[in-house]
Amino acid sequence: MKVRVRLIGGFIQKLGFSEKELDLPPDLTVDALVAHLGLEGIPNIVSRNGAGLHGPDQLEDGDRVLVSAMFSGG
Amino acid sequence: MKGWTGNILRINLTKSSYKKERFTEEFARKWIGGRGFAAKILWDELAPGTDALGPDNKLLVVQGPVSGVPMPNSGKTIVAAKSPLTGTYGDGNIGSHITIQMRKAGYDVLIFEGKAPAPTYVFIEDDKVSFLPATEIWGKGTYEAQGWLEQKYGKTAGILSIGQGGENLVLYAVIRSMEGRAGGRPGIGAVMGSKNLKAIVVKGTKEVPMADPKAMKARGLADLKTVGALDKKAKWSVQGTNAVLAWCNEMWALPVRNSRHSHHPEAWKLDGERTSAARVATYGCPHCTMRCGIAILDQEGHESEIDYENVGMLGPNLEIFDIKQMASLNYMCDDYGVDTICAGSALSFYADAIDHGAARGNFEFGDAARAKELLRLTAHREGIGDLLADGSLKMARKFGHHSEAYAIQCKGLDLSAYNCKYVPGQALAFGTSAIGAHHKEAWIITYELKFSERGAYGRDKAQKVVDLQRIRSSIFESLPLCRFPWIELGWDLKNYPEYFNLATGSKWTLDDFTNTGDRIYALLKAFWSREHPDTDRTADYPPRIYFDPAIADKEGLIAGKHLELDKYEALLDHYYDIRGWDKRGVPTRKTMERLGLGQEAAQLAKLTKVSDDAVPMGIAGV
Repeated sequence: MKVRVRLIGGFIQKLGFSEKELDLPPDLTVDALVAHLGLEGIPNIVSRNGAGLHGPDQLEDGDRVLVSAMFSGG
Repeated sequence: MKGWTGNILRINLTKSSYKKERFTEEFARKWIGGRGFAAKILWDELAPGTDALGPDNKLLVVQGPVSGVPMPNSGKTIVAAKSPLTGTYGDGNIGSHITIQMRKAGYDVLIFEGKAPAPTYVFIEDDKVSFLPATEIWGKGTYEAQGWLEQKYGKTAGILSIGQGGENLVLYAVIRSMEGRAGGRPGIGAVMGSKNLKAIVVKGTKEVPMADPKAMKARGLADLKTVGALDKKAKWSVQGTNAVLAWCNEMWALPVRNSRHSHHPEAWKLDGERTSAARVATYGCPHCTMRCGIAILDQEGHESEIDYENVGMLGPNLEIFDIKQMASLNYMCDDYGVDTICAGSALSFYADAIDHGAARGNFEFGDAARAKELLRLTAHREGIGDLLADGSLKMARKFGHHSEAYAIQCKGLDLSAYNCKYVPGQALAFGTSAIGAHHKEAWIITYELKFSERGAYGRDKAQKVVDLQRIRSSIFESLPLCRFPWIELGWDLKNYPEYFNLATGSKWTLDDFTNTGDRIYALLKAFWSREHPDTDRTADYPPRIYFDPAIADKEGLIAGKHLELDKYEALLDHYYDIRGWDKRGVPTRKTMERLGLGQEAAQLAKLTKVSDDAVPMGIAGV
């Protein structure tokens, strides 16, 4: 399935892109996406259409997800 | 006593005199240090109603039991006083070499009293205190003052200074250090200026007493490496806090045009990628491996050190998207020594008030050149700047025409750069922050979106705000430290009590800290209630405009959404219930007694109504 991933913060420099469409296995979970991106163990917040997603939540074809570092303010 | 030096240095500026005093271990364990010490000392030593800009106010510089120790992000100092902006306790958490030098000089607390007869700076070298003329740096900006003092005392001397903003009593003037660091948003720099005190310089040569110095040192050096490695893995400091802008814009939580909008298509021009690409230097606080001070060149060629709050409030909030112009505004605020958040908010409120017919003047959103001129006028209190220097709430009260509704502040302190018109938990965090709206008190917005629903008003959000305020007040404000390793990198919170134990020989757990955090927060709210005896729950409301359907975004992610007053009231009731405060938001006698504040409750009861016990919730439908 095709999922657009928008990265926020140092993840952009870590992975070398800020937004792109990824070809991913169907029914991929958020946890699996984070692992696929190599971001396990780094505090993060993943959201879709402005709503936060949990690790077991499944992504769907055509989704645009935000993968951001965790913040506590500026 | 281990961990604490046990010493207070009390300096009388009127008389050019000083004396060393001891505090007890019982006091230290009850209040930890930093904010805890400052709140208790100011409660005890200031008469209710003290003029914040008069000689009877006191300026405190405070450390804690792990201050200056080589451990992750321990280079922080608390500056505190009664705030001229909010009229209650105010403080700031500033990275500075003074953290290390004060402890080496043998002090945990400096108390500045009175008013120097002429512009002065104070030099403290171990047991010796000198009162010196500040003639050469009075009237100068903080960069020049810092440079002049560094030339005299060395780059590692502990230096705090104010700029023209503090000298001219701008009510949101800050204290500055190390060129890029600032603290004391609620006008602590103005209090320093009111005392004719341009700068404080400290140098020390002593050992800080630690219960287990060997273990402390070994653990500290190892953990500095650990946190450094976590940062490298996450690449957090590549963008630092500037990363927040893109997230807020994507989530429609960005302050745009005085928070009337929450997203802007041009905001990307100021985001973390752009600021990171423009970086010419990086700065940080002592003992920090997550250096977040990203410097870029401004329009005039100065190095301007930015973080998200500066960018958000001086950029999209003013609809200025030219990165160099935004950086110029930031540099000017830093040099004048005024808070970037409050300055951005005062300017955006002024433009908004003109837009809505509440004020006459010459300023429009997006006009960077005029914004610069207004900042200059503000720092010198000239012309319209005299009004801008009082902050958005006082401006609104002067303008009238219901403009107070869109003064983006709580308790007089302007909101940091998060538009909460549809983020109820963060709105509660700003509303209930006892020092006025400050992101450092409880930054719940990512929690709201990760673990809850954005538009929900559940008790979990009130609980989370309380939890964060507890941790913030006890660990990060009172030890004191920077929070970034914990949230941003996931460094375990349990590390902090362990350091406290190594320093003081205690066996504290996180529970001991949260209990102390409750005590400190109850005293802060009691302080507010003492100074504002007619206070009610509206003091804990966010800006009224957030409840107005008319300012809901017309399109996009949160189109048509806004806060709902009845639901916010219920959320506030949850908050008071968890805290054990009454429905006016005043800590009850029983709560204060449980927290060891029986004497303070009795004092408070002489000035305002203190309920005996918490009022049962009784909220319909909850």
